[in-house]
Amino acid sequence: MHETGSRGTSSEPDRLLRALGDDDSLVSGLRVDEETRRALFSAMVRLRSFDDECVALQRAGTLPSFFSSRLQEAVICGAAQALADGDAVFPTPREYGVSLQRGVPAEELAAQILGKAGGRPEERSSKGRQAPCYVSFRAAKIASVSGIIGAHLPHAVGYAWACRVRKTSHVVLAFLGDGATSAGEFHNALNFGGVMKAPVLFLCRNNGVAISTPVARQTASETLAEKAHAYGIPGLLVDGTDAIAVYNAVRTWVDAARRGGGAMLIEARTDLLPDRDPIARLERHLMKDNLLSENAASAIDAAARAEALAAVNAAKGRPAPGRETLFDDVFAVVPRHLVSQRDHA
Amino acid sequence: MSEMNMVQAINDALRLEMRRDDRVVVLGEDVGKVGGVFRVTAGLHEEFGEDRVLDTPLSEGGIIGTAIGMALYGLVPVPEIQFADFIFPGYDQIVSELAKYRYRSGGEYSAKLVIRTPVGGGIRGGLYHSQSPEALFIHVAGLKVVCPATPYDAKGLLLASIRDPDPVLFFEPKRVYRAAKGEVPEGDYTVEIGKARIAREAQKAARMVTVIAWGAMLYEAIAAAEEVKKKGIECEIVDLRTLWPLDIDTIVASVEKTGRVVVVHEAPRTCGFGAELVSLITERAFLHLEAPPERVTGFDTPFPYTLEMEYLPLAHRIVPALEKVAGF
Repeated sequence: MHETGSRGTSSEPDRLLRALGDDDSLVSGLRVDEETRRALFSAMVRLRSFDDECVALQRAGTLPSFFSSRLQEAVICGAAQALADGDAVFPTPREYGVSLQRGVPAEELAAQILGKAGGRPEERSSKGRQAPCYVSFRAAKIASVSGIIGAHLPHAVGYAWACRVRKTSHVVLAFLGDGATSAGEFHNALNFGGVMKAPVLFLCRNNGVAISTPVARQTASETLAEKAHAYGIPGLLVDGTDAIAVYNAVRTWVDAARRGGGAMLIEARTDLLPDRDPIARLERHLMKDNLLSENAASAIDAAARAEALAAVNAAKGRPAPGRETLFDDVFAVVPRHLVSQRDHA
Repeated sequence: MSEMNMVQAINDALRLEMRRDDRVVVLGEDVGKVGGVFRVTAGLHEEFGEDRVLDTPLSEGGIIGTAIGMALYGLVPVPEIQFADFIFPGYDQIVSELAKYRYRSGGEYSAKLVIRTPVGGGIRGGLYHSQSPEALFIHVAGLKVVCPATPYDAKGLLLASIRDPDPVLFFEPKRVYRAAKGEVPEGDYTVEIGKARIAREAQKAARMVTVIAWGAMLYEAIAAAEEVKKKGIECEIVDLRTLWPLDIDTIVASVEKTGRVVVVHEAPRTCGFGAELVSLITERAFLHLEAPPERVTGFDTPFPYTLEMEYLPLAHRIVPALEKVAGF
């Protein structure tokens, strides 16, 4: 592990925490079980397939917007793989796909992205309230996604603190993009998280650019991970196209946090290596270690694409929410002034 | 029953509810060991410990934001914002997150907080320790807004607010924190959110006026009513207690009785809550009105330090408005 020093870490790829070497083998001394490595591959392929279907919907004009997670799968899936069921995730729109790994049926995810009404009473979150990828899945312990960059980060701190004072061993994962490190709530969250010794991990996907603005216009610091030090929490730089490295870094933090450890910032770079496709990279590794055959890879891919297509088609067939639902959930009980606007406007 | 001031009544409510419900936590700047700059949380840290009463870093966005996270977990946080003027660094968390969490999650989640904060002028606090920002929260869908004027209502409304399923902004009129005294029951009771109170009933008279007020301005309205009574003008004073959701029925019933209305509030005039009140009254009781409604408010300026008593809508400014509508 290369924790950042007081002078920060180098941004050279070889100074990143990596699990896979240039020859696609695990770096020496690292042991990650076969089942986990296979599971990471399947999860990433599943997410890529779902994402591709949604990108197609956006290109067709069905979706007005979409936050593709293409090339970010190692961060999303690697981190999710390191969590347990009772842990909570506070995502941004870009990590909508974390829901698939946490047991949300693909059709439910597609229904939320398409803004459809819920199919069953327990699927209350599908009410078409939020734009694509601003998901919410309480049963899977996935918080509702905000449109304000960084606003969810203090929520993750408060939730994690509650986990600790209520004497559970659950931990919290909060995702953010590189642009969010400029937002005031990033400061609030890291500061409060440090002071409150909350078991919360801030996992920053740094792809080098926020819409159009490069990281050099976000911060003058050499890395984002080094910002952790001013808050008295550890910071770590990891290769964000290496799913095993992300998994390992997050898993190491999770194990420590369950034993009483506190907040941490991990910066996952997804823009450094010439081969930025995390799926192709893991596939080469698994084949090299004889954990995956060409046929098995094709079968995983075909199953994922079939699942995504079926999910999107089923969700498309669901009804839009009715006008009367517009007034629900503003308050626990629809108050008189909203009853009036609902019934007489 | 025992006589309490408003600070004691609120402290009593917090202690009672924290004993009753271990999910209730208090957090904010200096609320712990010191017991708050107005001493409202005095003794709570001692009784409940630092996992229930937290001194936080100095950041309102961080206070509200972390409290939302605690609420998502299932705790019932009661954050204190030291002065209502300081709420704006946390305003985005209230407007974009707290108020919308239930809606945007389709009713899956709720982020239930009671944000307590001292409000209003008259304590020589200047620009940043005096403001009344209630309208900025009423305008946001998803928030309830409460402002008690008496110790009895302060305790009963705070207990009701903590038990309410929705987020509540609980404004405490700091000018009367200690000046307002009254009998307060010792045990558990609630005052229903969304119900106004007739603080003073108008005796039948030729010229009657409904005065709508809340918080510290209730006492100015009472003083003005005493003054104009000498001139034969009878005032019926509606103490709103809850600003949103509004008890429009009590207001309309009073206006139908008196035919005249004056709204008093400390906040600036333009787009103040008085504008909405007058609009609703005009929509619902137009044919009962004997005179155009009047507003006696703060000015459309920042809140001044030296001239604060010129800024506030005190009794001497309410009296001419009462005479004007009565003589229309």
